[in-house]
Amino acid sequence: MSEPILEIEGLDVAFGRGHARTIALSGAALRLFPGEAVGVIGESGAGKSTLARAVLGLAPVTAGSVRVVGRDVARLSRRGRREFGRSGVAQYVFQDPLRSLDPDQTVQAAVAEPLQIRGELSRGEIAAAVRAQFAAVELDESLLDRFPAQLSGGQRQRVAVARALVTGPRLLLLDEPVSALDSANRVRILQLLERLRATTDITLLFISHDLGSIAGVTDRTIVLNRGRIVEDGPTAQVITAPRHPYTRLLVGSAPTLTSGAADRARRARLRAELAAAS
Amino acid sequence: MSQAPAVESGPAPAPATDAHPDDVLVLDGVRIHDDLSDTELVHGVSLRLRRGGVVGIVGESGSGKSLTCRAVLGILPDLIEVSGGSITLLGRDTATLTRRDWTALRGASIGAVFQDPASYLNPSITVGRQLQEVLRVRGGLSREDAHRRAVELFDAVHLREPEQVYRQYVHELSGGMLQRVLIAIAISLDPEILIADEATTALDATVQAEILDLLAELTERLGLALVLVSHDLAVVAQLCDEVLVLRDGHVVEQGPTGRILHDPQEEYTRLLVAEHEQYGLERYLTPEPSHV
Amino acid sequence: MIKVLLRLTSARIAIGALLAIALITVFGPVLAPYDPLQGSDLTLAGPSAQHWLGTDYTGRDVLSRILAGAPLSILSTLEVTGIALVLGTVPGILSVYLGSVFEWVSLRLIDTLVALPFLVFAVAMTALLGNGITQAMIAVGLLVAPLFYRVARAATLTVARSQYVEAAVLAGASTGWIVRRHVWAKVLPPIAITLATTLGVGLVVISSLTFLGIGVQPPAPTWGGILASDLDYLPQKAYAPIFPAVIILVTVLAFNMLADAIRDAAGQSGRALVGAKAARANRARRVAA
Repeated sequence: MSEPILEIEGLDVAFGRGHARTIALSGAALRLFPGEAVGVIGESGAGKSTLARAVLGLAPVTAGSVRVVGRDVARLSRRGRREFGRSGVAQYVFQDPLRSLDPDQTVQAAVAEPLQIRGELSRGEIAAAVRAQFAAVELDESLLDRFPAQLSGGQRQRVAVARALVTGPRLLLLDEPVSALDSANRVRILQLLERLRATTDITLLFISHDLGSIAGVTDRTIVLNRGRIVEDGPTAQVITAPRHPYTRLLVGSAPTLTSGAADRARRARLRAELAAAS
Repeated sequence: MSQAPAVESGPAPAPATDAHPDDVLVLDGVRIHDDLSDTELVHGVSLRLRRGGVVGIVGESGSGKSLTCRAVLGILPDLIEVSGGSITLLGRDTATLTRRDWTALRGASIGAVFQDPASYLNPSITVGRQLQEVLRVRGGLSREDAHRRAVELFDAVHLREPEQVYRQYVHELSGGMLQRVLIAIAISLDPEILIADEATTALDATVQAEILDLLAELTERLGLALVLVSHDLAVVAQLCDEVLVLRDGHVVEQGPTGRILHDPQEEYTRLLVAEHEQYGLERYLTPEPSHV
Repeated sequence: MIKVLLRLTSARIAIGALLAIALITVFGPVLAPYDPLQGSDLTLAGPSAQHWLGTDYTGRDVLSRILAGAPLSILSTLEVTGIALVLGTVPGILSVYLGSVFEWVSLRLIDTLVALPFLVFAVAMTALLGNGITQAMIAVGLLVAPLFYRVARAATLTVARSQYVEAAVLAGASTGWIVRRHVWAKVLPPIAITLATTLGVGLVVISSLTFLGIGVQPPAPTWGGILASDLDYLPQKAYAPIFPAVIILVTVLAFNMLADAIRDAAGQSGRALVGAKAARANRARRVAA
């Protein structure tokens, strides 16, 4: 398939009016093809979440277009958004599963919900689909009737991933999916994503402020700084030969096992460079 | 190279117990017990911190790292207590300290910064006034002197335009700036020890590096002893001379940073190192990952 | 939550007291030893074997009047609370979803009701619509509705802005789906607490109104009315008001205790409360060992 699954052109997103107007994204452009795993990195406020919302049809777009599998979702009506959501083409994994799962609902109900909203399958079919997803994310069936608070952080995040995958999306957006998790669980989720990529042609959009997790899973990285895309290239290249001062600072700032005191001076220099460049 | 002798399971042996005049903090087989569930949460943590030294504690949530910090600060939650071992803070056994003793020690001898800086500050008072308050009440400074010293401290933690920040409220400052404010407050009374418990966890990568660099600088410049707690081995590795790896309340491994990173003895530690090499920048930066 | 609730001593006392009151309400008139409306020559008598709580100024048995007064007082309280519940909760939830115009209008209506003084409004209503218990109840119900409105609205707002609702929206859920599936369960606990509190408040208000003679046709007995008539004869029988006062007090106290207990049981503190005793025992055992 050579049709892009996501096509963004000249995208501007702004919130508020008059004095309170903030420009969240400016002139964003990118193309994603099926099977790609792309990381979006930037500071809080840089526009990553806004970009994700734009892809889901939820951002106040002031210019440009956002095409998901050929359909422009930039300026959808409420009904349009509902239909787009129901189509299940693009799905979203939130950062904190404790907040993105209803505490009064069993995890089985949580994963079943998107299918129930669609209203196309029978109860039995939905139950089977939920069980299949549980297996795909390596969760034991005995956990189906538990509530989110009774599961560990890692299990909860896998439930969130299962919920996002249950409608068979072509495009999966993950917002800091492993930031709140411990080592072992982080690795598990990242391995899960790798398996997903190996077995389907799902496209992943991985949003994070942590270069480390992006390095682990993606083959392409997009860097956002102050609402603009400042770098877009193969992950290996972005990390080993960053071009933009911000990217250089980012790479220099990421904690690695080998970084030490020498890097402190280098970082101070990179900060000065970035300040001079802006 | 892992040609080490057969690995023993269990906690690392406790360090030598002879006291050193430069020890600011000594934990000796500290155990912490939860009376509500009648379970032991921390099973024997030992460490020795010298003046100007930096010790790192790595562990996931539930490993007992935060409880250990709270025990050192004397702020364990209700119904949770130190049930064994001893904590010696600047030569004094904390078991003998009264509430008054603790109040005198906190701030002046030992300070702390935690995760989520905004929740540790009063949202309706300017941050400058909050630091000024500490300096006046505990430091005995006059209002003007406290104001001046506060601005100096804000400058020392590299807040740009400290005089302006003094007049700002919590909601006007970013997470990184707020954490600097808290660090300024924590060091304002010139304590000997600073505990940073996941102090950079909620911050962006570049800001995290700034704060860690700041802590390193303060350690060097002020001779501050630092206890750095994180779930990220790399964060700890960056600053610390010695590392403790905690898991489920046990000290899995303990030793100089270099050895822990390049010659980890325990399975769990190796897992932490491997995770970085498989799913971290190390994948691209070091073409040949060190043998694990 | 019910299980945790029943473990709290305060809840058990409150529920016990309320069950007793409920029994009196249902069987009161039947249990009354004498006809509450029947006077006798034995006026203002003190407690005795024949009249446990004595008699009032027309020789009626006080115990019988209190027992017979229970249905009117308690049922009116229940009805007031019911009216407030329906008139408050439904607009409260809807105010989050029916658009900004409805939100603004309902908020201002509620603000207005809050600003009106209880008794003055009730008196005015009965003056306007006639002195019946129903009119008084509607008036009071209306005035208490804002409480339910605000609680329901606050609970709904919290849910509406939560991430799990956002997740449902992303999956294409309609507003109806979200209210049915997510909002309802979150609104019930705070409403339960408000309900218990309102029952207490309602009884105080009904007692006040009947004390003033509003909403009740004498000689029908009500707790407030009994209290009022007792006050006229204080010089002769100074302790008389204690009986109706105590039963009102106990009932209101029971409602409030129940409300507090629900609130405690519904949160994290529930666990700690219940566990504190066990924790003390564990500690003692450990230290002794």
